[in-house]
Amino acid sequence: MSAPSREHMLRQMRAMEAILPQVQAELERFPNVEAVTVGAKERAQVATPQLAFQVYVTVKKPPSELAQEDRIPETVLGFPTDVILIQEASPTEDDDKYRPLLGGTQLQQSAGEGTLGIIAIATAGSAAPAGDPVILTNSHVAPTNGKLVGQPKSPCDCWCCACCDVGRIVDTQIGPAGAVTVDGAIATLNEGMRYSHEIVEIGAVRGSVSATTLVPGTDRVKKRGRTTELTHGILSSAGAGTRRGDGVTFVNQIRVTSLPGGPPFQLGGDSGAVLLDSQDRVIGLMHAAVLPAGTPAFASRIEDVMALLNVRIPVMGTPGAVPLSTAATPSAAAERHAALAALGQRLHAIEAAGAWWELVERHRDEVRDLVQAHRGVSLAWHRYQGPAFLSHYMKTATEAEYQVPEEIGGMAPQNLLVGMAAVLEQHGSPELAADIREHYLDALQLSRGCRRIDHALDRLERERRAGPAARSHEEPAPPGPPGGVRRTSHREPARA
Amino acid sequence: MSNRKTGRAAASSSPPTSPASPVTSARRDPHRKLEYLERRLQAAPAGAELVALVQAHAEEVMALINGQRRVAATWQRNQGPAFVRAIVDSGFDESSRIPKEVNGVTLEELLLRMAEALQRHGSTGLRHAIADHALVALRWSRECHSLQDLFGRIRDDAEEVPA
Repeated sequence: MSAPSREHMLRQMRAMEAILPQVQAELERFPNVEAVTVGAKERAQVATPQLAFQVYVTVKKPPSELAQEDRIPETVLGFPTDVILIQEASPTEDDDKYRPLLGGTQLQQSAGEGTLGIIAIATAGSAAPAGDPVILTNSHVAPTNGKLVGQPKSPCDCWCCACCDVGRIVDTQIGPAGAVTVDGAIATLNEGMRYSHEIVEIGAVRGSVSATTLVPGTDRVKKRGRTTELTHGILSSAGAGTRRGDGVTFVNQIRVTSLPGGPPFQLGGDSGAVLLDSQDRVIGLMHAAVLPAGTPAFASRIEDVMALLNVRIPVMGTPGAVPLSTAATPSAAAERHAALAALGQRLHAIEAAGAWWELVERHRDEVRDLVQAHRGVSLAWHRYQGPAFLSHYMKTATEAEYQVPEEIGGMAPQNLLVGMAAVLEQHGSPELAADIREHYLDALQLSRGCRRIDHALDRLERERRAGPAARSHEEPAPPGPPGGVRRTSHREPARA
Repeated sequence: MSNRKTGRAAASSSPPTSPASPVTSARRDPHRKLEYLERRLQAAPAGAELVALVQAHAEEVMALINGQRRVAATWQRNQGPAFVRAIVDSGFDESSRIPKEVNGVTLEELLLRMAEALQRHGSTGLRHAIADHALVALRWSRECHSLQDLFGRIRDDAEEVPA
């Protein structure tokens, strides 16, 4: 006997949906029943091409342990039932760098990491300006409004501190309140960030469509996440419920099972990936899976995501287009990374510089958090031209003759150091404050006359060879008032 | 800080009771105290430049402390008046210890936080002066325990400076 046609399945699904309220009233009186919906009948947690009323229960017992009146009937109004145990699903979490930015790649905020689903477009009412591209991911991947997100990491493994930051979270929600359907977040892109609406290994997307138009148990779906990469599964239901390990209960979720004998559909780190149908239309936003099996997995319906966050998924390219990832463009960032890596190697080779680097490593996260979230520290960082000085010093790593300006916006590097030492010592943790007190004068001393990173390293190297006694004579500018007073009169005008 | 002319006038109007020790006389007259301190600093070139620096910016700093709300708050919150009082009360005896901490705030913390507040609200000239001299002022505040120490450091630092 041949399998029923798709049209037949769709007709059957609509017929079942028409009587769903009646079936819900009938079945939700049974103990432990949480929800009833139309979906595929699952066998060994794999969706089959047979429709059924999925009955979600909190406790599943063998029929022999149940009284006759407590057993859920095998059929209701002529359609089969499928009793599904609500399992605790884990929010999933997850290294290549992709420029331009592409969907399906790793994304990280300091508090969590996962997958950059897709570059969507903000619409009216969005926290981002309407029409602007925004990163779409999960709220539990990027939970903090106003904080930066990085691809692949934030902060990155190199010591430049900021090269991987790609955008800033402007809206992050698990909602709406009362009937939670969405775990979503959007981030605006940093100025000049190159992006594409494509997804790695999938390519161009063809807009979005509601999962309710698909046939459970028949229609295949796919996603690309940073952990399991491209995987295919079967839609089991577009109206499932799930309770996550973090205590959040979701309704109207897309439930996906792995292909028979196939790999796990979703594992830790895939959260935030978008779920697509066979025509490369986005139908959902993945956020949870039953682990370690990686199946079933759950996604918020894309229409709910778009309504809550005010975004849309663009229609672009042509079906089957060659993914941009196969034609990666050379990036200036890669050059800078190589130069910074070489500088980092030299830094580690000099004992004194290594000690400085240890300090940076020890406090980098806290300082970043303070700069991003603490108003006083953030104001000081920007008032004293911190971003500009950092950028200029980074430039000296890649350009042999480049020198940091003596002043930027009327501020000297020493103003920046004094200002940041004062605010970090006041607002940082006791450990950070103690290290600031112990080392900020050395940092001030090192900054004098060093207009390139390698000049500072040269000085540290010379001091190491000559011993501490040589220190005061090594400096191009003497630290005492006489030299200082003279230097003031020779100050050059600001160039940046 | 008073200028030298004013200092002399003050000294002549209040004759010292004991001509033997300028320190003793300084303890009895604030003007004489400042005049004495200034004379000691002027004795070394580096000290003279320090005096010139203070004279160049003292008026602006005083105006900021008295008239700029945030600078005033930083000064008060970090025990600025208490430090000044404690230093004046020491009588400028060269061997007297400079108070390093008042009510849980160290002298270095006061200077660092004031440097930040002053460079934030002060003129470009004051900001440049802070960029150029904050390091040495903060280092002296950390390493000098008395005026004697301070005069010694000024002399030593001057000797270390290449011509």
